[in-house]
Amino acid sequence: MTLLICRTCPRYDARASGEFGRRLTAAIAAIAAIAEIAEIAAGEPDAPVAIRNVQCLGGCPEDGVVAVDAPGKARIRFTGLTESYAEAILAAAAAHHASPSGLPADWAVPTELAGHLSSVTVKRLPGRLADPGKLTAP
Amino acid sequence: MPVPTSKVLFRNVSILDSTGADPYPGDVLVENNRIASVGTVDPDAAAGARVIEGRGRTLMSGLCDAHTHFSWNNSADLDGLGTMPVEEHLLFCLESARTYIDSGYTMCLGAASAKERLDVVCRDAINAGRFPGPRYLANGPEIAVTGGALIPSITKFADGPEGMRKAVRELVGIGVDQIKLSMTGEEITGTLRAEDTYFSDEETAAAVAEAHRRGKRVCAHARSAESVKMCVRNKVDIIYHASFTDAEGMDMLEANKDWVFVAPGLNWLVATLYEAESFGFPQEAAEAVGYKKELEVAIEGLREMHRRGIRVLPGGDYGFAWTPHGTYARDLQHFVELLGFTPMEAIISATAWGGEIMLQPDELGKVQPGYLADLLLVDGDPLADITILQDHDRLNYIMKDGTFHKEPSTDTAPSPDPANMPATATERLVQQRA
Repeated sequence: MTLLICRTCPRYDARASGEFGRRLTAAIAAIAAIAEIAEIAAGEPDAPVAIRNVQCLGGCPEDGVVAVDAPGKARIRFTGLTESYAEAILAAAAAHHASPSGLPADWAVPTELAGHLSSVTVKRLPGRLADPGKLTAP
Repeated sequence: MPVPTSKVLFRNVSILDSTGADPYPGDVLVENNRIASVGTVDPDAAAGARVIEGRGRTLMSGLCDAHTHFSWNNSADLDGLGTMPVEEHLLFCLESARTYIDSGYTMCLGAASAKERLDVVCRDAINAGRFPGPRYLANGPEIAVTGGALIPSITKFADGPEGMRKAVRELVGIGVDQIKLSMTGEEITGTLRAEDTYFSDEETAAAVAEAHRRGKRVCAHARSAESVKMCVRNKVDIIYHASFTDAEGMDMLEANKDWVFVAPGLNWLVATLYEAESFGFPQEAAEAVGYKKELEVAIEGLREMHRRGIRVLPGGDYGFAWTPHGTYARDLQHFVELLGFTPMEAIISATAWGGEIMLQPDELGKVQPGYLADLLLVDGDPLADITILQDHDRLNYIMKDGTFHKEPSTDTAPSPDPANMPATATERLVQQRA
């Protein structure tokens, strides 16, 4: 599973500090170290969660943006986060990974994140994908 | 700051050469701005080279974005592309150029400029070494007919064959490398439908004939079925979008696949449909104007193009608020997940075919002897996970024309196990000679 973390947030900060991504990545690495999930801390590609520090996820007005993604599964974006959500973000990544489609209807979005869900990007493939309709967190 | 070097040896790398061969371990020697040898490097040839320890990391060609807009300024609306004053706009373009190469893109094909000379000035500044950026083929403002402009404030208007010839001549005069025709609508405008075609055959033919006569290629914003066929009939070299290509158009593309390129700009459709709500364009609105239908039809058509061997290249119209600069490699993920490309095919489309669309097929886009040294040293295997290329931290080294654009101050890649470290091809050669 892939956890995408914005390295630009807050985009509209003239200092272009990218501090959200740095803080969240550090917080996740600390959790991973405590949990002895060394692959996450080391950023190994075959880790249970592959972290990608990406340039932007397009949710900029509510800075602090991450998304969970996986091949063939819906990409789910959360906005308005801080590093204090690290545990919930990891839980979301694991739940997304365990779900068949990645659609929020198929997994339990952690309560802390429910109000932060800002987009569901369906991987539209010819003739086989269900349409989630609109954005709804369970 | 770039560090000029005369010889660089990438030692013990996994060579992803963009020929279609599986990656293989070896060494790569760069001399001045070209790749001198690949696989096994003669130690004598490598004498005095600066050595980069690959430690098994992937060495591959720099990437190509076939649909680039330096001057799309991450605006949250179409009009924002036209309202920025030229001074600020030029600075933005130079920042875009730097962002492209920071993202591993060493080749970009300009798909239109928001003001007449922005692209041309950036290209020249990059080529002169004044600012960092990819190799760039510059465009001018897109040409549209009266009543058919997506964004009137950034459009060069022309009507009729004579009007087209004049517009092309003027753009050639300012130094563009290719001409852009905006032939169809775009649903986000609210008034100009993607399935409507505004150019006539006569206008398209005149524009293409004049451009080709001056040695320039033509690209086109062509979403409708009719526009795709009009492009092929009249030898438009690069077709952007091609969302509603019909059966006849598909056959025409296949019959002309030796020269035509398609660059769909797929991320624009995906992100506009699903991810633009934060900027005032919710999914319901995007569906209502037709983006859901267009994405579905486009994916079907593009998969068929891929099946028929038509060259479909990544390059995504990046530069709007919800498709910002720096996120370019997401296109490769779309190619794998939505269009059915294997990761190898997606990388070849972004590298080897990139060399072809840049008109340097024997010099760009592959890790082969004699090719220009535009290289990425990637921490990880993009064939195992294509999303690695979206993470700039994973692009440990970026080289363009034999010069490092990016290199770490300290290389923190994990060291191999000394007890189980295979000899490099070069070391084996030395051992054989001993």
